[in-house]
Amino acid sequence: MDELSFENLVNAHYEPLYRFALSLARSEADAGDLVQQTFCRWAAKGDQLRDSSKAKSWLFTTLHREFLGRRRHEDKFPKVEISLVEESELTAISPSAEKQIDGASVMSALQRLDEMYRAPLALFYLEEHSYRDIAEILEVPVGTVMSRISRGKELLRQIFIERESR
Amino acid sequence: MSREEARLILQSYRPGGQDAADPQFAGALALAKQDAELGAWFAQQQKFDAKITREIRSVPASLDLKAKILTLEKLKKQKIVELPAPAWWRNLFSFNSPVSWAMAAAIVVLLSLAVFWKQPESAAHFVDYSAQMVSAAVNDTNHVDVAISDMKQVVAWLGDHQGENKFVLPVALNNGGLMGCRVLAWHGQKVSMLCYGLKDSGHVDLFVAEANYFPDAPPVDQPQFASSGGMPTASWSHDGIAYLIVGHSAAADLRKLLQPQTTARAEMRLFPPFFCL
Repeated sequence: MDELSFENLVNAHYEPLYRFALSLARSEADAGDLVQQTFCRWAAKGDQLRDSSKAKSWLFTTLHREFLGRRRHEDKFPKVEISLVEESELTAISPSAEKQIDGASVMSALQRLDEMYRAPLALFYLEEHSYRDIAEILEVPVGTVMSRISRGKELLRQIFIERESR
Repeated sequence: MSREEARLILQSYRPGGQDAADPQFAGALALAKQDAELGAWFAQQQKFDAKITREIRSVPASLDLKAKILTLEKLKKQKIVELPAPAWWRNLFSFNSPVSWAMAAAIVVLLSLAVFWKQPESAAHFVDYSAQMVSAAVNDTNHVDVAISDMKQVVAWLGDHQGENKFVLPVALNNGGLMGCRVLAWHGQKVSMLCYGLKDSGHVDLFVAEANYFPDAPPVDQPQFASSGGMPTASWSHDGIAYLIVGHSAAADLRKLLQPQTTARAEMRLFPPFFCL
């Protein structure tokens, strides 16, 4: 891949990759490192990818694997327990609570979720990938992705409701 | 399809409408149109999802990060300029010529004798090490093992990978710009490499190894500037550690980088004298 196309690839994907990384890594520095490492790997191995249309999925998959590898190695991402809702009924968020939702609060809420829900939900909300793509990126079955997105959304709502009640 | 099944499916329907053509959602969408309660739930769900999507997309990624990534790629593309072999050399050896074979045999004998005479000396000369590290510096595939910008994490990572991690850095290399690191092997010894993208000096790579391994280790606390493979280098020793910096820009930038006023203490160790303010 020549310099121009690498630059195009960076221009097209570094922002959503960074947002995904930030939701996973919980710190801007770590998120930046994950994105850099991902493009580093692309520079080293991306040429082996014959189907250029798969580049985006490859980048997200690589970033996720890199995150999992670092987490296993460093054990620096303790889980934050969130009480699970008992049923899957829609939890209502008041208009005032919804107004208070901004980028930082969404990231912070996502970062509180278990990685099991965090990764598929972040990818879903980035809108870059279908649920099938998300399953491929996270290397889990499609049905698992759908149920995790569904459960993750409910947990996300719970977090916003909890914040409002404080 | 039950209402619950439709809900589960519709939860994965992106609010931007990207999934409108996906047949997986057709049945659930049709049911949402017929079932008023499901329809209301779906509308509310989509409103919430659209809000979260807008907000998550508003989180900025710094332009600095983009510049760093592009620098990483550019530095991988820099290679040593290889001089073409002289034409006379290509024509010197002919497989069909007995004279050529005789010359080759003579060269082999002479080389063997030379090796025999020089046997007691170690092959781990710093100049060879420099050339090898310059090759690593311009490696365009696996330039760094890991992209980490935090020095503490780099030190920990190097330690975990048996790399040298007890070093004293010039201030210019301890004030950001760190892009990643790598552990290499040289004659069985581990060498740590730290990669930087610096605002003023551009891309530089620092190599750290034990000094006592080299019979001709660079002078203590006095950077020695040279050139290897067309790349400017600076080397010095301090406290048993040999340092080698390979610059990817002009030699003057490397000298500027190591000016005494731009250096100071890193970690809990003494400054090398030339680093003192």
